[in-house]
Amino acid sequence: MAAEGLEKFTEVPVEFFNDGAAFVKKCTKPDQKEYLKIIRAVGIGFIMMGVVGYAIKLIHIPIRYLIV
Amino acid sequence: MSGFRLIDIAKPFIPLLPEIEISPEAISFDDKVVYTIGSAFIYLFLQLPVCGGQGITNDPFAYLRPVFAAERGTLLEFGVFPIISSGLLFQLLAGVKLIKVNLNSVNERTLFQSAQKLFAIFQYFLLTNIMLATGYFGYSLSITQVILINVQIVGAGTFVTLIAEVLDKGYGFGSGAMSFIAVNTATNFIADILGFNTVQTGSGYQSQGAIINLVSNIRNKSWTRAIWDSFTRKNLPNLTQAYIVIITLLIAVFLQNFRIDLPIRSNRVRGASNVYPIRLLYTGAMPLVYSYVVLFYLNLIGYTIVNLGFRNNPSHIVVKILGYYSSSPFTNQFTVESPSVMYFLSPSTSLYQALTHPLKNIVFSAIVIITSATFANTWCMISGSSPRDIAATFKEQGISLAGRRDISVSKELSRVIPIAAVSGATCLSILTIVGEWFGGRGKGAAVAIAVAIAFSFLELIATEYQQAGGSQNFGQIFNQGL
Repeated sequence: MAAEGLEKFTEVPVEFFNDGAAFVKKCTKPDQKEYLKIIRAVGIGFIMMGVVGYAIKLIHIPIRYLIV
Repeated sequence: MSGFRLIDIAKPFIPLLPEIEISPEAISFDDKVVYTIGSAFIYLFLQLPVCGGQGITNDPFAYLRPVFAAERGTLLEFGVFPIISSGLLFQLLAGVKLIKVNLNSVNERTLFQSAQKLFAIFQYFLLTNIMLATGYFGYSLSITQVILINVQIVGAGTFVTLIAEVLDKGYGFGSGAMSFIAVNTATNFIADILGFNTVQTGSGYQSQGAIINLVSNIRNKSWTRAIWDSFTRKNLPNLTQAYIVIITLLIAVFLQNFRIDLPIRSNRVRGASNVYPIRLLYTGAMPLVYSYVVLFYLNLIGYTIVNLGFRNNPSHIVVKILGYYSSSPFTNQFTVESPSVMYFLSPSTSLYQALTHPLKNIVFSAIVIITSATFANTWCMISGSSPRDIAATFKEQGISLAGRRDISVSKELSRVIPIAAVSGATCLSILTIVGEWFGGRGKGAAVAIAVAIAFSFLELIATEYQQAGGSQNFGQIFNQGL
C-alpha cells in the first residue's frame, strides 16, 4: 500500500522530468552569431540603464549627509 | 459567497483611492518610452534615507531585497514586494475562483483593481509596523518618530503603487513593478561591480564596487590577502557575486532563446505558412518571483512570531523550533544560524557554508524549485496566454497548426505549453539556486528575473515598434541598437 502510494507520488515529477528533458532537447537553441547579437543588445541596455541609475544614486550621497 | 465580500471590502475606500484613468487616445511609442524610463528613474530617486529612526541594524531579509528592488534603510525599505505580492495573490485567487469577479464588467474590474491596490498599501503599513515593533528602526522610539517613519514609508509605498499603476494602465511597456525591478537590478549591477563610492565599515572606508575594491586591496595589502579579501568580503558586494551575476546573466539570456517553433498555416490564404514560437521560459520570470514572494512571506511570518511573540528569547521552546535570530556585527544581518524551521528558509551565505551545511541547501533548493514549477503549471493556465486563449486567437486570425484540424489546436497547445512552462521555470530556478550556493545572496536571482523582464519588454517594444512604423525618434535609436 505504502509503496504504491509512493510510486504514485514520484510518478508525476518523473514523468514531467522526462517530458521536460525531451522538450529541451527538441528546442531550437540560438547559434553563436545570434547569441552574440542578443548579448550585445541586452548588455548595452543593461549598462546604459545601470550607469544612469548609478548616477542618480550618487546624487543621494550628499542628501544622505544632509538628512542623517 | 465569501469571495464577493472580499473585493467588496474595497468599496468604501474607492472615493479615497486615487485612480489612474486609461488614456482616451493611443499613446505614441515615444511617449511610452519616456513614461517607462521616467517612472523607473523616479523610483530610483525615491531611495532616500528614512529620517527619524535610530540607525538601522539587524536586517532579517537581506537576501530577499535584490529581488524586490528594496534598499535597506531607505523610503523603499520593502521595494515593490507589497505591489507584486498583492497582484499575484489577487490574480491567483481570481484564477482558482476563490474571488469571484467578472473582469468583463467595468465596475467589477475597478473594484478588483482597487482591492488589489488597497491590499498593497495595507501591506506597506503592516510591514512598516512589524519592523517598528521588533526594533528594526531602533528600540526606544517616541510616538512622533513612529508616526514620522510610518508616514515616510507608507507614503512612498503609496506613491510607488500609483506610478506602477500608470505604467500598468498602458502608458508604458508592460508591468510597472517589473520595470522597477529591472532598472534597479541594472543599477545595482553597475554599482556592485564598478561603484566608486565608499561605504563606512568596521575596518575603515571601503569602495562599493567589487573591482574597485580589488584594485585598492592590491595597492594596500599583500597579493594573496588582497585577492582573498576581494572574493570573500561579507558586508559589501564581492568579486564572487560579481562573477555569479555575470554568469547568470549570460546563461539567462541563452535560456531565453530556447524555443520550439510550431508550424502554422493560414486557412484563408493558400500556401501561406509560418511558425509560432513557444518559448522554454513561457511564463518568463513570474514563477521565480512567486517563489521569492513565498519565501518572503515565510520569513516574515517566522520573524514576526519569534521577535514579536517571544522577544527572540533563545530558551523558549517556540523560538528553539522556529529559530533564534542572531545578529552579526560585520554584516548587519539578522540570521538564523542553528538548525530550525527558519534556518532552512534562507540560502547559504558562501560556498564554504553551502558545503558544510548540505541539508540546508537541499531543503532551500527544493522549496524554490517546487514552488516555481507548481506555480508555472498553474500560471500558464490562468494568465492571459493559456492554451485556450491562444487557440481562440488562432481561430480569430484564421490560422491553425499545420497538419491539424481546428478542434485539435487547443489540445495540441495544451500538450506543449504546460511542459514548456514547467521545465522553463525549473531551469531558471536551478540557475538561480546554483548562484545562491556560491554565495550570490539574492543577486543572481535578481539578475535572472531582470533578464526575463528585459526580454518581455524587448518583445513588447519590437511589436509596438513595428506598429509605429519606426518613424519616431526613440524608434530609430532602437533600430540602431538592435
